[in-house]
Amino acid sequence: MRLEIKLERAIAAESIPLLRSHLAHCDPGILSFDVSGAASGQVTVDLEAGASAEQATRRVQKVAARVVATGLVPPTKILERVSFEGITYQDDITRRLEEAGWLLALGRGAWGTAGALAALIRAFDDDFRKCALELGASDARFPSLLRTSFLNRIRYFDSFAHHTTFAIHLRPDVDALDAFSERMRRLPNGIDVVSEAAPSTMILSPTVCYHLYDALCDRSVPERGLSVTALGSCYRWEGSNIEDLRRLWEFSMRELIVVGTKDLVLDVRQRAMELTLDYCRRLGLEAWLENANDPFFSADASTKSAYQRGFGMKWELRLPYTASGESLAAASFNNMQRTFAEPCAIRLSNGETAFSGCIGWGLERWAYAFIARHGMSVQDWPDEIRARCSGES
Amino acid sequence: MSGEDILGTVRRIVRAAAGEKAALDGLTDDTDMFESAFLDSVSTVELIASLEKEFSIKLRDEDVFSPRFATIRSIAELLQERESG
Repeated sequence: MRLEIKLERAIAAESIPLLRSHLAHCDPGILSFDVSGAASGQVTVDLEAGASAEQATRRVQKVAARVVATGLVPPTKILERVSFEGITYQDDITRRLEEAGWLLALGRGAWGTAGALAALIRAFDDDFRKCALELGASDARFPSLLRTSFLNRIRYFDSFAHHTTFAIHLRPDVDALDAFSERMRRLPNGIDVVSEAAPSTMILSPTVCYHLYDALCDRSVPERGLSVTALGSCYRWEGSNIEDLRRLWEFSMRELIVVGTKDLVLDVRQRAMELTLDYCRRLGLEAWLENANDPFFSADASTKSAYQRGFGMKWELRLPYTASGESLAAASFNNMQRTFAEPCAIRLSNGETAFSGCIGWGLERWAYAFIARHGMSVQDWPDEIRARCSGES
Repeated sequence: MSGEDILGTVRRIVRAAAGEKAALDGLTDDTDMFESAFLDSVSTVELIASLEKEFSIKLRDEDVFSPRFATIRSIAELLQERESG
């Protein structure tokens, strides 16, 4: 059933990505939605049979109201742009990758990579790791598991409960384990509820930097600051927004995290942006740096979003993948101020609360945009990348 | 309102919005309040609302999110221009 929902207020173009993100978590009866009329105050949704139109309407209006609550709409700012003449892009990337055997469908939001695509992702990671090391970071490795006690400390669930993927295990109970095994034999496609689960104290981490903040809680960083780089698998439930390599449930991110003085954080962030733009120039990738915000889901989402976007706390590097200008946020450069250091009580050597920042490079998105730009023939790829991917096709 | 009066009023409003952080970390008229984390998202919205009420104006998004909306002094200059404009 198609439903046209009138919003209380029109949504500014700059706020539509946030609305789109919210609608995927709004109502289980919504199969799909169209926000092309949001600027005129209307959203169209397709509801599954039997779903309540009244409930869906109320929920859509509720999340739309969050997006515009403050009425503040920071203008879009482009910090810098990399352009080339005569660029063309290939379409139908996912089908091509699957046909080549480079991309393996493994469930919703979960893809395996092989051949030159796997080599390409590895090459990107190597290059971003080198960038992080050049900026003074040291290597680290973190698990995917992250404790909920830490997340409560930084009040993660206030803003990002919708992304959470819990890590659960079964109760130590022989009867429950037997019942579970028996039930699974009859349910080849999985189960809706794991009634035998033990209370969970862990989630699968939505990002890489949280582990460092967790480890630094109630501690001081050295006077010169602390910079760490790590590659991690990240998990963010994206509902109906999930789509191929462009938006995954599980994705790979190389991060650089810096904790120290305000000047150190701003300097590392600036240099990381410059190095990443230089990298785009060398690889022939069009790109631009644009102000952005995280998909805060809380009632004060518009306040937090406006602040983050408006005051340059978050710059995203966007890579286009179609001639019409569709693009992916492939890296983000974040000044976290004291957002984490304050609740985590991370201090400088002089006793003051530290500052922090992080840079994240989303590897699958880099690969997607790179192949849209350069195609599937490894011999046509820029030398810097080709040398590490040839022989893999 | 004179330039000095505007500066004093902005100083008072910013300090109220920043709360105890203003006293703890030595906020001056030329401190970048955002880079230095004196203001967070909530206190920034409070600051905007208080400035609009006190000066009986509607701040434009392009004013609020401009580099000039960063220090007590530059906000006061911005408001003075709006008053004289």
